[in-house]
Amino acid sequence: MIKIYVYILLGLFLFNGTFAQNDKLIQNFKPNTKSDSNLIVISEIEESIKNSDVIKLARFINSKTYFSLMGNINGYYTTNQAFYLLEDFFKVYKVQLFKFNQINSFENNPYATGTLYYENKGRRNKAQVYVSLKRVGENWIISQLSIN
Amino acid sequence: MDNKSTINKLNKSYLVKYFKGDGKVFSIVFFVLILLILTGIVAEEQINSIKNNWKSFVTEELNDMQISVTEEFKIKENFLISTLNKLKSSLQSELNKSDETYKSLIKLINQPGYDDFSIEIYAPNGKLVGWNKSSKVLHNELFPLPATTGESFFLEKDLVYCYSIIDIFHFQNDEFFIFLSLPIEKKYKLNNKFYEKISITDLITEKIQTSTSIDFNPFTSPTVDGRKYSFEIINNKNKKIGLVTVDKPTIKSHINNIKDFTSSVQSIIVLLGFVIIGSGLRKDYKNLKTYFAKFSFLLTYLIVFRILLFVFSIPSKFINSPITIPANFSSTFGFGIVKSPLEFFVTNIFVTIAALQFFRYSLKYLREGKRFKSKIISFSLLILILVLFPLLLRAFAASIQSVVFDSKLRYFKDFEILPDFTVLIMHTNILLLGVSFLFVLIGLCLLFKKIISNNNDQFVLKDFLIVTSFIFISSCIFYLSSKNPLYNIINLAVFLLTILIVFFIINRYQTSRIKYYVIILFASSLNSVILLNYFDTLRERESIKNVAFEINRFNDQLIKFYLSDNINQIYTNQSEQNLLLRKDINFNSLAFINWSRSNLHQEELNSYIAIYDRNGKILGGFRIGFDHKENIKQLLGKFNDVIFLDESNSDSLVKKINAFSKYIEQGVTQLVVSSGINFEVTKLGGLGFPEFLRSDLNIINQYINLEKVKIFQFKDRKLVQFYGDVYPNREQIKHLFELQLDSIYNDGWTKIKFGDENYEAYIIKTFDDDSEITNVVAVADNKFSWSLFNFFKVFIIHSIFIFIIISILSFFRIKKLSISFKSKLLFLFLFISILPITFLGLYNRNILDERSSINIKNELKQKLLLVETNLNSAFSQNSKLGEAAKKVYKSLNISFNLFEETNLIYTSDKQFYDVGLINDKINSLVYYNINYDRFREFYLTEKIENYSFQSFYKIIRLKDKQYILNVNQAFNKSNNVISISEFDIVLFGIYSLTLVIIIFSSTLLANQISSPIQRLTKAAEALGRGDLNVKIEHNEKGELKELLDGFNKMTDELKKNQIELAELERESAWKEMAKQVAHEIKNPLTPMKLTLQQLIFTFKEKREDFDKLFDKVSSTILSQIENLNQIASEFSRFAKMPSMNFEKFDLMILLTELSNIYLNEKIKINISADSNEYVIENDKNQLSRIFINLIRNSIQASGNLINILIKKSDKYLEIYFEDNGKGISEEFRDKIFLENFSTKKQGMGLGLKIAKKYLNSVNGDIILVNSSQKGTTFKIILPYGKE
Repeated sequence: MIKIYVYILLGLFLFNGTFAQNDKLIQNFKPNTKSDSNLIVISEIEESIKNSDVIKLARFINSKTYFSLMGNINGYYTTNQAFYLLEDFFKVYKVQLFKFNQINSFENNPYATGTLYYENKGRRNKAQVYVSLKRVGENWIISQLSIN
Repeated sequence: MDNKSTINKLNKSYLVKYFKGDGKVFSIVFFVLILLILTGIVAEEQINSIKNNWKSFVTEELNDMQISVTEEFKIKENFLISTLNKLKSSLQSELNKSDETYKSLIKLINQPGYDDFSIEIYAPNGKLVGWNKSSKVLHNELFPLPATTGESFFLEKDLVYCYSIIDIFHFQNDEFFIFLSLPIEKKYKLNNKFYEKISITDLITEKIQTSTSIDFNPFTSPTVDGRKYSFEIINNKNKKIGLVTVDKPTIKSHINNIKDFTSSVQSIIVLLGFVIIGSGLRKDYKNLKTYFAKFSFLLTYLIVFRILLFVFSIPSKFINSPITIPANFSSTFGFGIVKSPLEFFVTNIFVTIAALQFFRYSLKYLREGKRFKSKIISFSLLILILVLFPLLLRAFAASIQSVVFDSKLRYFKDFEILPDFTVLIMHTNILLLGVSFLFVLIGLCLLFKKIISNNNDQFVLKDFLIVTSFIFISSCIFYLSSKNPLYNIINLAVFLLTILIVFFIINRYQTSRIKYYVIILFASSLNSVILLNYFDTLRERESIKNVAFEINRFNDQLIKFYLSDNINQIYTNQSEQNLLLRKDINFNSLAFINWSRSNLHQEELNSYIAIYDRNGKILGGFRIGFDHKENIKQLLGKFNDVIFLDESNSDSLVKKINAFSKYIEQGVTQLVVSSGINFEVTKLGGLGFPEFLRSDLNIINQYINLEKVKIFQFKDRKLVQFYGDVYPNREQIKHLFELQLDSIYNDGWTKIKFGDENYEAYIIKTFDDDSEITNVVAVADNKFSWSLFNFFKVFIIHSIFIFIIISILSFFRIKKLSISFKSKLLFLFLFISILPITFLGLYNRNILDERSSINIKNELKQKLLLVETNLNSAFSQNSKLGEAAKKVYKSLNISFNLFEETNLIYTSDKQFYDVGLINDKINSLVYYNINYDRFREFYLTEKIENYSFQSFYKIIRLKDKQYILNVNQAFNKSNNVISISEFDIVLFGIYSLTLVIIIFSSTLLANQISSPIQRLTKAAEALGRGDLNVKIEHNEKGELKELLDGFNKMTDELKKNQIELAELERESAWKEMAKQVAHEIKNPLTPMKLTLQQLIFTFKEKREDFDKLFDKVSSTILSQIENLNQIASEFSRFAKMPSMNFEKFDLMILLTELSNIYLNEKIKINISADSNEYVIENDKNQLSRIFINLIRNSIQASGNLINILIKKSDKYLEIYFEDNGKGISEEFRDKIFLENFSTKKQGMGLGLKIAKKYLNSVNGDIILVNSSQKGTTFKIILPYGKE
């Protein structure tokens, strides 16, 4: 039995040797869509995109959110898929700078557009971002998120 | 001090002893650790070296890039030149030997080998005389030459850049020119399967892993941007023909690359270390005493291994393919260990291994394990199993649900039987899921059975029924009490039925493990496909919702965003800017290029892009489903930004928005660019798009087949738009609006009927300003043929996987490939059944294909005739042919083309010709056949990109002038009644079902026929080994009855004859021996008699030599008595046991062979041992007889299981024969080894006696260990010396 423990310790040591080089493990996320005015929501979305914070962004996503992202990602996805899609997306296209240039807080169909500066495989480029919101009950949900 | 050193020595020896045997593993692990550290050091060194020598590194990198890129261009150039040479020589040889030179020319240049090239042939005067079907160049005039002959150059066309060359070939004293072009860069991009991607830029970018741009202009200057590097493209004549610009490597990205690479290498090293540790732990694993401990150990190892793979992103890191994209499947289960199809597959492999081991251990535990002594533990386990079982069923359903819902893949939407690789991986995942769950569920059933009964794996109906009942009740309770069980009652019934059937088979029939696996695999496939189908039906229902969301998504804001974004793309793109200012550019093509790259094409929106000059006059554009204004002068005003012109109809909810923007250069308006979108329900999903312009990225088409869908849009309860060929009546509309909708989402579901078809309808209500907008999307219920097709589509893929898995498993177990009689029968039945059915199916398919083709041809012909008639009439009323043709198109709505000689003079689909997507020159094959071979009409297959379509040409006369009229399938949707897809669906579904029935019945039949033959074979084998008690019990009739009865009779006769022979032999032996004895005894008796007679005579005669004679006689008599004694000893020695035949053989093999003889009898023989091989030296035949005798005794004692266990004990082998027969009564246990004792009606009772005698003679023994009503155990002891 001791032998097994020695092996396990050895294994952990080996594992730890490279562990530091990898990103942290994915944290569990719980969507929370309760929000106040659409301006606040848009601001939070802006922060999330700027910081590539998928967990925060996922709060405003549900299965009615339409995605149109670079890399031929377009359509409606479940929250499960959306989470990893966005995670992978921000890993490939590393956000350098982002800000909404135009915000229209219409009562029924608020939307915002902006320019995203990103780096991909050492190359810098920019993309246009379009985010529209929709009221579902008490909450604001992203109805469309385009980054192209 | 001494104590301390002693303790140290003891510790060291303890450690050495404990880890003895692991030395190798430790050293490898240590080596792995060193490698890990070394890679880190090497990486650091490399990074430092790069930092210190960055400049020279960059120079070297750029040099390598240049060489690599130049090489790519050289390859293309060489291909071009070699093709040119080949064409030239073919032309020379073909034309010189042919009488019909023009025909030969056209035929030659249209050969399939030249399809990738654009070929034009010019006469000596520079006029075009021949061109091939892929022709893109088409100058009517060759001169002035764009380059000298034999020199390669880049040629820019409207939509493509080509690598071209001009050369001369001589024919009949004339010089003809060949213009050969190879397209290397398409300017436009389409998102569909027909699009043929040609991009040397992408090829080079992929190769050198750096952003690349290519300028195909020889006059472009190198870049001045310090972050980029330019170099020239040189042709075969050492002239500059273009410029390549690449991004210079950055130190940051390079260092990141090194770090990534090092991280990958270290991950692999760690994994390797872990695998080695695993192999080192194998012995400890084997030495674990209980199955539970073994399973826990294995499970822990597998979990850690999987976590490591996940953390290191192996193998996803090394694979760049759709199988690693979360869009194709992902779930947050397990922190992302199933976040893509590939990760899911890897996880599935581990889960399947664990589940398989669980099943195997459960089976072993059932057969050999000891029951729990504590009733509390047993009871708790029973409860646990009853709770776990339905939970696992639900978990299985949840997994399949996730496979369907958390994926954008559509398993049943399209007709294609052979899926692409991503879908294939998911099919494998579905099968593995089903297998894992079924292994665990069956394992639980086996454990349940073990706990309630100690009949091991002996089949007892009562036990089976108890297990079944409890499982059934617990599953039903769970289903009924669950709010959301995830499956329906039919699914539950199928699950339980398959699980219980499999459980029954495993319990009832003792057969090889591979057969169990086959049954489990097929049962898993059945369950998982049924669930997949069920959830897909639900998903299709959800897809209707997405269609409704799509309709609602297109609001004014989104449309305006798309339009302004598209226009800005044109302005911000450098290469586009350059093109905009050129005077020689085809603006139609430019507009099309931008349209193809935008979301206007991606989302199949009826739209346009147009370019105007500064005065508002149109220069060019591309439109589809939306007319744009030719002159916008009145719209131009003082605006600097994007302005919108909204032409929407709010009453009908048709959205029609235009955007305009000025392109200003140095303060002066150069151009105006306009774009527009027309969104309406009636034209949803690219309805007006030709096939070759469709987009695979349009969401609506991805989710659902629009042909099955009906859409109705209401504004304030009034129908304003509809999609499809029907609309609801008043009653139906009333029903729709009376429906109770969800209070939060404002949506709901209902059923609606159109004609004979039932539809599932989804309703969603939204508000736009003050208007209530209601969208209703209805889809037809699937027909049975589709359900059958869906089921078999996946089931057959699974069957192929199962066949491959079983073949691999069987391959490792079968040492010699041999095809049994049963297999031959089975193959024969399958061959004679499947072959004609397959031929019939193919024949029917072929007939249908031909019929379909004829129908299309006839349809095109009819359309053409209609157009011709109307053209004649319209042209006679109208002086302009163009006007007449437009009128005919508007009235008939049939697309057609009109050619005069080789030139297109009218087309209904002008925009596609204007942009250069289709040649405006007639197909050369058509031209030749019609003009030279005098065909009145010609029918052929043409292509746009990779989209093939039928095309019909005919010579017509309009006002005494000859024209060529063309109608094709590309722009005229066929009304072909016979749908090949529908037929294929029915054919595939029904034939698959037939195939399953054929396989099933052939297997049964083959089994039935071969079974008696198999039993006969085994019985003959047993007979050959000396078992004369073998008998074949059967219910056969006819010839087989005679054969089997004959065999039994033969066995009886043999036995009787053997007994008689033995008697005769014994008698004969006795007689012979008596004769021998008499003869031998007589010899010494005769001299004894003679000498005694002589002594008596001498005594009576009172002779003086009596004393002397007495001595002589005594001596003679004594000597003969000694002789007699010797004779008696010889005979005694002879009467001992017959000579033995000792030889070396493997005891395991002998036992296995013997157990195989009884395969068809109602007895299962298990052999277990510490080793796979025990080579002994003994009399093989004697031992065989002893073992057969013991087996036969067990069978006769109503036993159906014998466990043979071999143990090594010092210099002996102990072989335990344990059966589960009715045992030996206590009163007889002391007598079983006595001669002539038997409890059987037949037999001499010598078997055990002889066995004991023989074994004793070879220093072994046979002992009765124990006996009871539950069974008997004998122990055979054999001497064993290691060889």
